[in-house]
Amino acid sequence: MKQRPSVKDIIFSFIDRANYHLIKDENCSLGYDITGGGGGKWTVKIQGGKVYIEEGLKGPDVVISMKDVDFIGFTLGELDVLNLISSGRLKIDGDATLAQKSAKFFKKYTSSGKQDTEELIRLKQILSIPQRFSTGEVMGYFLYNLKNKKIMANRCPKCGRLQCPPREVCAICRVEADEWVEVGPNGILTVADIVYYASPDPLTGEIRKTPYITAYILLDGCSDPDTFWHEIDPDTPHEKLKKGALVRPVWNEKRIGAITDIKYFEVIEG
Amino acid sequence: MRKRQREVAIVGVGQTKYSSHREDVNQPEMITEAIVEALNQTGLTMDHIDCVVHGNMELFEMIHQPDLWHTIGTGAMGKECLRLTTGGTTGATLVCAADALVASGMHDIVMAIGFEKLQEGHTTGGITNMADPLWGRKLQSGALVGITATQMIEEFGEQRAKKASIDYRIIMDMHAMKNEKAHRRLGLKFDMAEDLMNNSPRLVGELRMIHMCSQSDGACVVILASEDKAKEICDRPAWIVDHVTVHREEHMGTLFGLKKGKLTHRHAAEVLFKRNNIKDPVAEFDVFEMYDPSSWWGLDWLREFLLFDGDEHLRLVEDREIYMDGKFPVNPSGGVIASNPIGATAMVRFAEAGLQIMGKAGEHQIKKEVNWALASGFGGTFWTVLGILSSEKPKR
Repeated sequence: MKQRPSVKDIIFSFIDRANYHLIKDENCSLGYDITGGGGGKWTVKIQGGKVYIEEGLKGPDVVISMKDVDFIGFTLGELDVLNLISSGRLKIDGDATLAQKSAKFFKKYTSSGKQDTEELIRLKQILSIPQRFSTGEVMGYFLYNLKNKKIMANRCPKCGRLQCPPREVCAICRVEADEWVEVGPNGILTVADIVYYASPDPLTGEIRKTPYITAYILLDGCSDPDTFWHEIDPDTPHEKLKKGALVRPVWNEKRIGAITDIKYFEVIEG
Repeated sequence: MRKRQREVAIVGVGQTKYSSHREDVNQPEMITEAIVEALNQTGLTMDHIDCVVHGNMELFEMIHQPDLWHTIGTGAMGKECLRLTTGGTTGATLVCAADALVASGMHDIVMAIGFEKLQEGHTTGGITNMADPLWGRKLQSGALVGITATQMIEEFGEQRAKKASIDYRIIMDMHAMKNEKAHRRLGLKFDMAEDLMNNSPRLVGELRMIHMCSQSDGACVVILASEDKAKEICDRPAWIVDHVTVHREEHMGTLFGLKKGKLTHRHAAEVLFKRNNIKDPVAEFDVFEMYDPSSWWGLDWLREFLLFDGDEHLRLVEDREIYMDGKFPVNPSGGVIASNPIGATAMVRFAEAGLQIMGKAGEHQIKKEVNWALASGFGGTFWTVLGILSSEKPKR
């Protein structure tokens, strides 16, 4: 059986495994708090294009804590990082973005002196597809009005509900919704979601800044449950995101006939 | 009851191991593993298969003719083949389509293949692009939704709601520990509940990483046969009793008003139970394989599918009745939280319910005999497939 590396072996291998071209402009430090008999505390400093290892936690930007066996299993690629994090076996304190980014700072661990017998080749590709969507007559009229700071809904002649954003027909009654009504612009919050997970914004491809807040809003003039989906000012204190809170839109200076014409909604004080 | 020319049964199931590490095989190689297992279980060869129904959610891997690339792995060369994709429900839709092809008399034996290799794409990016491009794309955060947690905390109090949700999660993990094909087997214990529900990293609101399903690679294969063939192939086939697919409008605003909106799950259950004269689903079904993308949704959807109005769904979990040997076993396989190869996921629900009826689930086989099983699929902006399987050939 192959001898398993020690935690200390792995920590000191960071020096040999560094991707020096990627860290030349980095200035940061990663703390490792590894528990168990084979554990210990180390700080891996990246500065001036070099990697330094110090015993103990010397005020690192982020501390990664786990058990010795998990750390070794994780380094050898036997344990899945998301599983470790979600089951609480791997904890990250401090700059979580740095912890994520630092995975690229180092090459994969291989036991010293031995070549991998098999290399799995993966082909990396990135697709970038410019898209152009037609709005259609109904959504087009709605977006045109947003440019003029007006939120338009359309009414179902059968059940009377106001749809916003508008749809060509009422899907419930299967009849054309042909009457336009201006609604809002203020309303009340029905429910909000505070998003911590940083996913790509499909409109720009950029990773979204977190946390941001999405919400469903019952605009003045509309009736429950026909709510309007948008965002709330990300700086809003979370305790203010109560059901029934009064909100108003904050318009963008530059409006192009898109969802972004409303920057977000803000909670009205008092 | 809808018209059928003849009865149809699941006679064979094959599954790969579900994993985040299948860099050792490409897509057709991975699918072959599930096909070989299903053929071995039934004693059939590809010569016996009249038609192959194949599907996944193409926006994850961005391969738009996977059925053709996979022909070398499926053995579908020269055979009739259909490709289907309906989002999260794809796997269940494949079973429904295969059932229709056999029930109509068009084919005797149909192989349905669902797969996904999520590590080859970007799952949350893919799901976000499912939203209406004129409005919803900007706002969609993949399949990550915290609203159900917020609503349940509002209704049942923070401590009770959070505890029930994490208990549901722990029970699913205990089941997954008995299923060697499951992707995530974490070894969770009830004494870890407080730590997990308060310290697991947040994704959206009170939806934390521990609550959410995995992103898996894997394939599932189900072989369906006509009534005459089914009896020849399998001693105890899993008969398809009925299934229903329910849609709603894509716009999600109507679900999240001041009052909680009615989900398609409840509507599907109402239709299906009425059509099949089911009065007390908890007493009548021996197992429920539910598409549970998170433990908040799993918990809340028990209420919808079982047509509860109060806190009966919480009590089922609190009293451990959803454990595989409890009063109402839910997901002995470990469910979607444990394994989620999306294009296969909803098929796995029908496949696992079928295995329970056939008595071939292995270590996660329910001890008492399974005669009547419920299976569900869920997709995108909330739509539902719900189906019933039986150990006995249905009498119409």
